[in-house]
Amino acid sequence: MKLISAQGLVKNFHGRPVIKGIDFDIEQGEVLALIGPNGVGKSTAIAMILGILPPDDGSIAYWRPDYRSFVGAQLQSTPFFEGYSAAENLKLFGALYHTRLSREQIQEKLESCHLADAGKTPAIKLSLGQQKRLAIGVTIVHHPELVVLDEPTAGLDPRARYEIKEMIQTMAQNSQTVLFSSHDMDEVEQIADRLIFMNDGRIVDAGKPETLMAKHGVGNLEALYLKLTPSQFKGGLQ
Amino acid sequence: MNTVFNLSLRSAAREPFLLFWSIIMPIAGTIGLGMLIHQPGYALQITTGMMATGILFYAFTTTVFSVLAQRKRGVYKLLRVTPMPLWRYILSVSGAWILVSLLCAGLVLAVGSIVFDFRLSILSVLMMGMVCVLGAGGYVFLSFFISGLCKSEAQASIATNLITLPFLLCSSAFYSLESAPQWVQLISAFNPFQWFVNGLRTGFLMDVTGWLASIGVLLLILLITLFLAVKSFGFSEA
Repeated sequence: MKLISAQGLVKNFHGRPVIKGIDFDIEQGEVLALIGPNGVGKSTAIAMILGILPPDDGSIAYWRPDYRSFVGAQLQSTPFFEGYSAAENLKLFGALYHTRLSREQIQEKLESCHLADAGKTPAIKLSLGQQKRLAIGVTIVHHPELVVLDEPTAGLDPRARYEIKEMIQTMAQNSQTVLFSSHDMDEVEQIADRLIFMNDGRIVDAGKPETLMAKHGVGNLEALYLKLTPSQFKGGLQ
Repeated sequence: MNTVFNLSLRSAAREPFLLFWSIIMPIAGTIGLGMLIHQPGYALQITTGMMATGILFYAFTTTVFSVLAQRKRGVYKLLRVTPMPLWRYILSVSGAWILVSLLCAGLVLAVGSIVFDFRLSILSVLMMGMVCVLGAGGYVFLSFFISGLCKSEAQASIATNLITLPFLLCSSAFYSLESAPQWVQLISAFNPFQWFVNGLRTGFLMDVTGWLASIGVLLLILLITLFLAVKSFGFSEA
């Protein structure tokens, strides 16, 4: 079943085209990676899917009219409420999704984010890795059917990245559909079922990793990335 | 909605600026100036003036920075992904902040009553309470709007000073404007803060006509600022 079907999406900022007509579907149960260099429009595409930004043209069809109750999202800025502890953030986001959490349930959620001992710590005082884990924790506090993560591992150390990857794999095991954006091909290789490559506001190719690598005659995802997202520098490095 | 209100209340009570700007400073100002200046009616003037000032500092200045911090974190963007309607979130959070403002004003009034031996009736306290709720609500909603216009703490600092200083200086919160220049008196007639102070004083004196006039103006300001607050969410998050 298609959870989301986007057709002909276009977005301009101050007259400058950022998304130049993209079509894609998100199938139930898949882990889909949105890949591309910085500034190609990945976050804008995600913001349009989430309903944060209206497209200037094109349409997005959702699998259910009340889809907002069944989507969880984490944006690049690691959003959580300042002035609240980690546990309070989970409780608050639960309330925003009409999910009332008991103390035990909050503790379980904290444990699943590897934050069992940090429940009372103000969220702002957590390390960056802990903040990212909390941000993903609040994203899935209401057991959403679709989880959207915008560069969930950006700027993290290897252990923190590993823990986030583990969280995404757990979501996939729980039959949750995941859309995430990334530049990290190792991460993509380990967790994504299907890839969408973006460059210059367009989708340049999409498909299963092995299919795409065979199609473009490359042996790994890094080579595929370099082939599908050519450098914007004229002449390149000498 | 209750969870959002309760958590907002708990977080607001932990705000360090609250203790100084809206509790210690107004109480110290009320006692200090009230005992220093021996003029008929000055104890009433300074007590109500400090109640209004404490509310202005908390419900407007402190909340501008608080809202800006949440906005910069991206949590308000995420709100658009959740099923909770924006107006419900704004009302829940604002309700908590208004209650905190009311408690702060109550503390100042209680201390003023003890020090200056005011004889207050329940009706008078209720009339002042109503003014506090409407005034604080207007300032909280205004803070949402102003924080939406500011991109940094520096801009927020300038904006809050540009608003609070004329509010305070062109009002009779601390001194009488009877001998002030005509133009200052004219400005004070259009100063929302002066209407707030007037409402507290007429409530204190149970001057129903003056109180109703203030209530009417404060209600109008509340509705305008609520409209601006909701609108500001639209443009600032986009």
